[in-house]
Amino acid sequence: MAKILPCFLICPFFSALTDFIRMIIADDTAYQIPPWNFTLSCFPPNKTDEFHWPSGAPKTSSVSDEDHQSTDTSFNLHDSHPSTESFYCCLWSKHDKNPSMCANSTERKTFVSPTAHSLAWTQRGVSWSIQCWVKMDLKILICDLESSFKNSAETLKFQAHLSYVLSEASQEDSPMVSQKGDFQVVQCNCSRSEDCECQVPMPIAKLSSTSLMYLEITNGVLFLQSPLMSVKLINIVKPDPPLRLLMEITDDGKLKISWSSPPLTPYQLRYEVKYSVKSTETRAQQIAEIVLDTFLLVGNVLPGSSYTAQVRGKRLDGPGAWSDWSTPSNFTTPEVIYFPPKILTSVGSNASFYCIYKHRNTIVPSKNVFWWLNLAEKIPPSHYDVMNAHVSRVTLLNMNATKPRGKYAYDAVYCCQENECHHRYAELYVIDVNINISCETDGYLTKMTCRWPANTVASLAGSMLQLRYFRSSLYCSDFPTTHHASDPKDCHLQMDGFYECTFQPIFLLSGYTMWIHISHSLGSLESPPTCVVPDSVVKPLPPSRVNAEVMAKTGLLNVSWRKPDLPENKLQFQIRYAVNDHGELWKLHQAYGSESTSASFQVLDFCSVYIAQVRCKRLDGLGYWSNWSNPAYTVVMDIKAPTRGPEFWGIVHEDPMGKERNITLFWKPLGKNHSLCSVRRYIVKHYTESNKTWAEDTGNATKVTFPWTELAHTVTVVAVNSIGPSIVNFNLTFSWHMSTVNSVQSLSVHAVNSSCVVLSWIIEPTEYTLMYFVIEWKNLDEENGIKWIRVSSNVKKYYIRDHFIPIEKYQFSLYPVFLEGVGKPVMTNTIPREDTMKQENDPGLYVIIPIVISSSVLLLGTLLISHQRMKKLFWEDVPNPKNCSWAQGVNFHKRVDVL
Amino acid sequence: MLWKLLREHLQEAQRLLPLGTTGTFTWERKMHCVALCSFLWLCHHLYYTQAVPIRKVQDDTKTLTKTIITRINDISHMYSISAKQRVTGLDFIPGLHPFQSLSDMDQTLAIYQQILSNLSSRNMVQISNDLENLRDLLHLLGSLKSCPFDEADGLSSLGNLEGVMEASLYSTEVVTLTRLQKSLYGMLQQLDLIHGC
Repeated sequence: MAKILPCFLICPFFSALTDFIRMIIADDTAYQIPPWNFTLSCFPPNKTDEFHWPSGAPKTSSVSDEDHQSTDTSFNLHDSHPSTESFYCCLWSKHDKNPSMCANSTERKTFVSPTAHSLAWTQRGVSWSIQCWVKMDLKILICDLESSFKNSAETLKFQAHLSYVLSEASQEDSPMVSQKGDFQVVQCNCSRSEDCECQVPMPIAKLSSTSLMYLEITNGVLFLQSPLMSVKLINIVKPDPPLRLLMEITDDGKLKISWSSPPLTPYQLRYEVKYSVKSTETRAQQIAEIVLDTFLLVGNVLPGSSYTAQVRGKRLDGPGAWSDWSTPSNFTTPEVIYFPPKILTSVGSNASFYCIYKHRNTIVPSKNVFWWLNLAEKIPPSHYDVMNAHVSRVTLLNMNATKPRGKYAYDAVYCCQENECHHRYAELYVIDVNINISCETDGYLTKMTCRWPANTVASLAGSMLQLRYFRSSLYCSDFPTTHHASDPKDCHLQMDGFYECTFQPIFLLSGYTMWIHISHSLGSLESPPTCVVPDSVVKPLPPSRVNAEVMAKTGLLNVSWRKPDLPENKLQFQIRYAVNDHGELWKLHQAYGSESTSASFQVLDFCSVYIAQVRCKRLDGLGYWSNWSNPAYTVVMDIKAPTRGPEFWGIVHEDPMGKERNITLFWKPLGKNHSLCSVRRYIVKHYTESNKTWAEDTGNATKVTFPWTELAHTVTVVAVNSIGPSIVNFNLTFSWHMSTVNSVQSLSVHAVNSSCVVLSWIIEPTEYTLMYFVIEWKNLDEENGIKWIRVSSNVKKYYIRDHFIPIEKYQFSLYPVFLEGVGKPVMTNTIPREDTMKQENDPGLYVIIPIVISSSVLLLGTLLISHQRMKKLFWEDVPNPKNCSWAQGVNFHKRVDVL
Repeated sequence: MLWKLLREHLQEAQRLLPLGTTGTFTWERKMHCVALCSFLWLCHHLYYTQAVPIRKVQDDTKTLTKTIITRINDISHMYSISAKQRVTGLDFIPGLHPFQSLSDMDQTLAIYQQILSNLSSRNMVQISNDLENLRDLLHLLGSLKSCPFDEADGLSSLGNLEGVMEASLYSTEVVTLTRLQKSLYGMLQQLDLIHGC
């Protein structure tokens, strides 16, 4: 421990000598400035016993006890008699816990040479009450001096200076060694009556900084110097007062006084709260409590009462100064107190509200309280509980979800007296939190995607939804719970209104327990937990290499595929197929067995293109069906030779000179139901009367022309596919003789409408065998518009469906076809007008004609009424003789009399 | 029957441990407590056995083993690996050896898992996760069969192996996956043969 160097008796020219004074000051040799008020007392040495110490001060030990927290310095009035005229100045505080710190400081005397006498000071001594503190920004140290002289006139004579030196090192770390010349001096402001304020700027101070200082006070006669003072800044920092002082009633019915600690507080604070309550039941009384938290809970809150509170802070550990009191905060409790005022809960749960009800300055006894819901439904008294004389409780059991009523998303719960309810109410939000979380593992077994609807808690505006989960090492427990350390999972809202979250990579056989955590300002809810094992929600990849073909020999549709590599579990398959056209009518088949790679189905139409798809799923039923595979199409193949040849017809073209005749055959392409399934080419076989035969390959053409040179010429058209030629074929014989035979007596044509014409005919018997008729029709305005149809021989009337243009002329021909050859046709030319039909059938006529008639009658009636009206008007008006020649000279007065 | 036994043991326990008893246990009482604890453990074991049938665990073990084999097959650069070419200097990767027990399998898989966890790619992480599940299944299978299970040591310290892996990442991955696949094939056969532990 360092010691103070011997103090010097200083000459009256203090400033000149002090620069040479070297002092080594240790922590225990300077007065430690406390965070509270302390006193600087100076008195002549012969007055030490008579000096009036304030109560509580260590009167007897102040100058003799070395352990006392007091430091004294003697001041000499004359440099020639220093030992007899010196003043003692002591620093002390009545709050010091250890009064034994005071030491006899004769060795630390500071000599002062006064320039004048001051009787009052020299006779009675003088005291100053001092308080020093540092603001929290550590920019300035302030010491307030309050003189014991109440005479301001004397105070004004003071001049005070504070000398200080700031050190970064803590006193505990190393003794402070300072030279007198290191001290800086600030002049204190003593302009105020009785008080001086010394402000020491500290631009580089830290909390751990330490300052040495001493005061010099003079009134022009005496020059007094305080003992050396030391202070660690953290010990006298004065916090700013707490902020944002609030009062509210908690969910359990207490008054919560809360505040915020001042910003940038470098250490923990403790707080003192003082509050008072004023109500009809109680008088205003002030209560103070010390708390470490930034809130204080006050019980027994009374409705209709006024609370006022203030709070201040102080360093929690170690010495420090109390901050100023915060701005007072007032809070008036409502006449009816609900606690909690709002409840957010889930469907099926129970909820309780408490209430204290003050009605006309009297608290309603809890046994007289009734509860209502939405002012519409009285809650049965069996749900009430009397908690104490004033507190009533209602418990709602197994609640259903709140149905939003307009903008009100809550149920209003009222605390009432009989049928009189206060307008204030508690709010009850019951939310359906049964959110369905569905998960799906991809076909590669590396990713699990979970989805859940976003609109489930739409009624709870301002809520935040978050999926939380935890993973069990294997499988799921039978009763998943949310009471487990969990992690949040990022989920993203999709266009379809679902949130989607992805787990990748995954633990295939681990149980992922997940739930939705709903955060709201009213509280938080959790949906029931769902546990999913990724392996049990696999959606496999669809089967690959799907192939479909119709077997020529069996006529079966065979579909084959390859199972996906994963999952390794046994799979089941579904196969669907349909004829490939617009709007497939699918047929579905199931194939069980993991090893299945193909399936066959009996199909009726061998010649159609079939489309087939396959999908798969685990055989044990877990997981989902895969998507359907890419479609596979069958290739049409001939399965048999065509069942018959095409129907054909021939037209004879005769040279105008009559020398040459040509026959043009044309036929409709053979349908696949007869071709089984395709036609590669057509062959026309010719048979003449002279037994000449030949065949003509027309390829895919459906028309051929050949010369008719012999009296009879028979032709057959054969269809050929990859299997062979058609076996059953039609023949047609063109005979010179038969072309003159007529078996049709008459032919009439009637147009039904533009798409239908009806032909009727009368047959007359012939000696030849009539096989069938051919009706041929063509638009005479077009060259190549011949159409034909084969009609049975017993038919007498036939409706032709075609698109007939009413303004164009058509030729209809009816050919009898005999076994011996084509007979003579009956022809008729007609324009298929449908005027008559239209008139009969046009529904517009039935509407327009009555309207026209009605309008005419109405018009006629109107004219008649108008005529009568005009007649009356003309007769009632008196004609102007100037404008009306016939009225000139007529006496209308008489006429009126007559009328 | 089970409930009857349980009730008898509980009654015995109540008799031995009356409320407020502070006296010392006799040796006989201690034996009763051990018996009670054993019985409760048995109950728990039986309950768990019933909850997760051993057949399901066996099936899942085989299926997961096959799944890992398939995963390795599906890694693109594993298609063209020559079976004839031998890679030296990676002796820390376990070779193919017949598994003696479930515990032996677990030991081997633990080493593979440790190596794979140092091969940072999505495929490797997934296979590492699969191995963890597979080891969990082996543990469960062992507990269902009351098999002794040694704590897997893994590679006590990768030490310089990390440097080897870093310098020969591709080789390490290929060799690890190849050997793992062979080990899994061996394990698959062994699982069918092992009826005990």
